[in-house]
Amino acid sequence: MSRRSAAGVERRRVRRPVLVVVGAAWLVLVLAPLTTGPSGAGQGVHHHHHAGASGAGGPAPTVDLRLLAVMVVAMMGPLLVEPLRHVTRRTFPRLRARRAAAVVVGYLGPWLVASVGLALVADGAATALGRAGAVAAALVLAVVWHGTPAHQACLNRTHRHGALAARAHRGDGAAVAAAAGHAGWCIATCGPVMLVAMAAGHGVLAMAGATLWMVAERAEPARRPAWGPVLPRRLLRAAAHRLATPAPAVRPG
Amino acid sequence: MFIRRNVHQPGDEAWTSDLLWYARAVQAMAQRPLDDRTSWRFWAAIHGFDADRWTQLGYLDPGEPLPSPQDRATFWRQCQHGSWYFLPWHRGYLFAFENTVRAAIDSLGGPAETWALPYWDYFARDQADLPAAFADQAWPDGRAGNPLFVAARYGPGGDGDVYIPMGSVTLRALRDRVFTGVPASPGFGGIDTGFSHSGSPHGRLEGDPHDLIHVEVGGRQLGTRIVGAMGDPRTAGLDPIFWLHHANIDRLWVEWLASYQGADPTDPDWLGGPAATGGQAFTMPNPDGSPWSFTPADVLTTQALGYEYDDLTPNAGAPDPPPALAAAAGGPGGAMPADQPRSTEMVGASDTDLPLRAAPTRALVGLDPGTFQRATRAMAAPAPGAPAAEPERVLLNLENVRGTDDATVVAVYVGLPDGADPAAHPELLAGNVGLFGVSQASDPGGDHAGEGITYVIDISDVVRGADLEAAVEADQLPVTLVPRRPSDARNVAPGPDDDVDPDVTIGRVTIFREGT
Repeated sequence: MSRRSAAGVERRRVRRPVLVVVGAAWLVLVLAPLTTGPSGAGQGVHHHHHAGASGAGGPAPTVDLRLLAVMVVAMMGPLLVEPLRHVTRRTFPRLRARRAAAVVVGYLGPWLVASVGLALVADGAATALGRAGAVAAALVLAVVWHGTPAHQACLNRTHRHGALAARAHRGDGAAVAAAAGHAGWCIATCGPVMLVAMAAGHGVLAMAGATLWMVAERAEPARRPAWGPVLPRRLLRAAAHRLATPAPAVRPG
Repeated sequence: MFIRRNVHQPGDEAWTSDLLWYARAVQAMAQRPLDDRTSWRFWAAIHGFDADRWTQLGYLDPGEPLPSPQDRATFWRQCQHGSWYFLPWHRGYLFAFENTVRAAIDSLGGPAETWALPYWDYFARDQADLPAAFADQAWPDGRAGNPLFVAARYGPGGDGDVYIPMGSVTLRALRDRVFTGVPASPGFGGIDTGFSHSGSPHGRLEGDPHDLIHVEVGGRQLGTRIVGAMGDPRTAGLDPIFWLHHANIDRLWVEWLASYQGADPTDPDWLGGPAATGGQAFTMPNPDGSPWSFTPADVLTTQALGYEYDDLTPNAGAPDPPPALAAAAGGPGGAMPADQPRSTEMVGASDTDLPLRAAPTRALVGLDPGTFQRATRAMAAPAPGAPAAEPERVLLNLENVRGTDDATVVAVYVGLPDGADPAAHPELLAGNVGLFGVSQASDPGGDHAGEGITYVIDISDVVRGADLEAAVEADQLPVTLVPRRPSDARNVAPGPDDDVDPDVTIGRVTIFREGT
């Protein structure tokens, strides 16, 4: 009987609770009624008719922050595993929970803000171009962006987790700042894909597809920035290998 | 069964038959074009390649055509460092290289049926000098052009005198009974990196002696920033001594496994190699140029590959011979008590981003109140019933080391009083770190995304033996980093070259305890 590696066990220890929360968020997204606006934009954007807005020719969009927050947790949660692993294994044991919380806040906060902006952009595009036009425009943007050296440079930066200050309060701030910086590189890397999913307006399926893409892309190693797409080959090859190879009996380490 | 023998044979004969035929094969392979899969440079590029560095050292002409993109993608730049694949990848690499050399020897009319790659056991008594056949510019008959000689091999003093300084390297890695650990305590063979692309620490054997030998041999040319071929993973395979060094590393793996039978990983992700997690399969050229793909499961024993080493006994000349751990583990070949859960906790950390200076750099590591003391108490008196072979350990991490000076050896002192001369306190020397690979790992477009490398050394002996009471009372443990000066190695008065600060930054110095 084979035995899992110590690092693999540690990885699972961090990943499992994250995936439980992520799963719960997906459950909420599946069960929650779709709140797609009349223009066809994605979940989280509502359109309310009121005097000023209707007078201007259309409904004014508002954002359901709670729903967007759930969406951010569901979609970005899987990408939180590595930053959480890094910070929890390289901090004092008594501060681990605090540091983990700091990373969650520091990472998801900027993503929430970015998601509001992306949702409004998607809604605006859907209003102006219709759903199909908005999706096409977002797709073109995403494809072009993913083929640029700048995108590769951003993706490379998401693989970096620098050394952290250790002391209690200073360390909390440093962890929030580091996680926010990490989120910034994440947003730059994945923002256009998120925009496609929001413009598609179909909720769960579009979001799930975008999430899979982002996770698969993140599994690719760093490489020198150059023109050309980053195809998420590694996860596909890993999946193919798993399917082709019978799973041995494994006991935890 | 082929027998790999010590390059130093009785009789002080510099040019043994094995070396002579090795040199002839190297020459033949070096004459082949770069795009020939059996050429010397193609084999070096399988380990690493960088056009600028190769050109700098004279191994690539500007504008010289490279092999096809497909060949480069399949074969080149495969070396596995900072990973639990370090040992099996290099074993397969050496095995396939040895076959190619043997085929060259055969084509030259040499003893292909018996020839095997020698190893350089720098731990053996009086064998720390570079083997003489590699240091001589001439063939044994006096002809110029010995292919085993490499001009870009500068040694510890930067002057071309190549040797391993006394005490630079140790066999402490052989004490580590766990093949694969966690980042703060990576184990004998390195860690399972999974899908992570961050700068993973080197395994214990990879750090010391492997990295240090690379750095000591390659060195930096005196008065310049030019790193010798062996000192950089992107050029190391160009030096013929590389292969003898790695044969010795492979031999130490065999020796370690003989002490801890069954200690190699059994995780399917290790046995299946990186291809199991979607990475690139290990692929080497056969002597006829056809590709040979292998996994760690294919190279678990040397016998399966058709070779053995002539000597596996722990070396009496080693500065730190491995203790009789096999006995502690239940006798020779005793079962490894790996089922005991071990925890690794951070107990101290310094400030971040410390520039390394030519003069000793002092970092104060803030200790977490109480935790470090618990570790030191546990080290002094193991818990009742705890197995003797699973002691409490204390590990020092130099996190996220970044820079361009691969050829830097840093001596790490623990508990050195402020202003004290490090040389006067050998009892506080915890170990040496060689920054092999640091420039590649600091490249934002490289595999490590510019994360740098984390180096780990076991400081348990110093913590156990030194008087650290004052530091513990103050919750601050001083760690002093002393880069080796070229003048130290040449035993001369320091000169201007010794005052140049290395281009190296330490992300943070941390201390971890590991215990049950």
